[in-house]
Amino acid sequence: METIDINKYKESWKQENQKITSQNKLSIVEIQTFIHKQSKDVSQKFRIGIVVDAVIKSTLIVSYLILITLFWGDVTLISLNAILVLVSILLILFQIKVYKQIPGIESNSGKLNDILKQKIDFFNNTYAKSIYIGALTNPLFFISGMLFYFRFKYGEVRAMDLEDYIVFGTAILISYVFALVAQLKSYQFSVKNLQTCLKELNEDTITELTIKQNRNKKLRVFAVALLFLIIGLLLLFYIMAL
Amino acid sequence: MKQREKETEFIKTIEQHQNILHKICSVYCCSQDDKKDLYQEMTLQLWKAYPSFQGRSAFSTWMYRVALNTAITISRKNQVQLKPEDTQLRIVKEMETLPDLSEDIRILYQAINRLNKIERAIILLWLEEKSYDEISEITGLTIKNVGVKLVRIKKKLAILIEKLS
Repeated sequence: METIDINKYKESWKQENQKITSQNKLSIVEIQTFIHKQSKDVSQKFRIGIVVDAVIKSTLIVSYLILITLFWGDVTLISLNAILVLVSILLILFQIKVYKQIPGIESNSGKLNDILKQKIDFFNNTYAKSIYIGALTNPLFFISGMLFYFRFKYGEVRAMDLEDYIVFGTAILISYVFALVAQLKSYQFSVKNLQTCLKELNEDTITELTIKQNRNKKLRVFAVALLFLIIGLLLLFYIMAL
Repeated sequence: MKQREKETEFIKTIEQHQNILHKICSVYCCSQDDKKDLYQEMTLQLWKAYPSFQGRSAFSTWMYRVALNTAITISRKNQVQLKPEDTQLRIVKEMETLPDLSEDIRILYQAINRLNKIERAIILLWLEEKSYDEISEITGLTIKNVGVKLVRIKKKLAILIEKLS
């Protein structure tokens, strides 16, 4: 079988491609419109996600402050809501820190190899942590709603037994896991795409070990986040039981 | 230079070099909608990166670098992911994006579309007669590695063209 010589295609490629340009030629106005549009890049979606999360957490802070006034006189509940305000503020500050790092991964003017490594590094470290932090909005929202419910239904937070703790604890955990899974799915899609490209680019240089190391790092972050959530829940129930 | 003047200068330069963007779109997209999205994103990223262009390399080399980086790193979740068995659908979609080209070039494009993202970038730069130095500068690969990869890609492409013909 005769082997095709790719070099022969080079000349016709040059001539024929003029047709593609002439048939699709864009005007100055169209180009001008493009540069004023919003980017569809993943970093832009990430930026919007952080802003939305910060707005929701700010609303939660307001709701906890309202709860403090509603439970005025009850030291335990005031302390609990004050802690939740503090936690929400810390989480917002973390998200602001992440937000400031986004421009670092938006530049496309460097070498492809460096850009891919930079983006993967950002996704595996900063972005991954931000997902675990962002998902905490759901449990915070749930706790706020629960306290409002108790206040308006019974006028107080009633003493809870073991069964109540299990039900509420499970609900809070589920709300966290749901938010986490949804965000992780989108993260995995983006990072997998970049990892594949880097692997294709370097072929033998990026080893399976690097991928395994990244996977282990993600697992560690998840374990720490889960540990904090469980400690937080235990603290919450302890304070409520006082 | 004022922002307005800078914008006008940029738009004029992009208009002159728009063939680069059309070629990248044809190599990376399977439908007209994807093509338009990618064209828009590449133009936007070029505009954002424009202040970093210092004229050390040719404008076309810089443009290839930013545009290819955008095409490769963008995650288009909504894009229809065609499975290898969807050959007929793939060909129909490719026909949409390729105007009245000769049969040879049409097949060449279809073969390139079956390569992975990185291979497409390297072969496109080679077809555009970029030197190994320039390909290395754009991709970050060593010159030696560029040579090795090109040999492999050309072989792969020859097999694909043979099959498609």
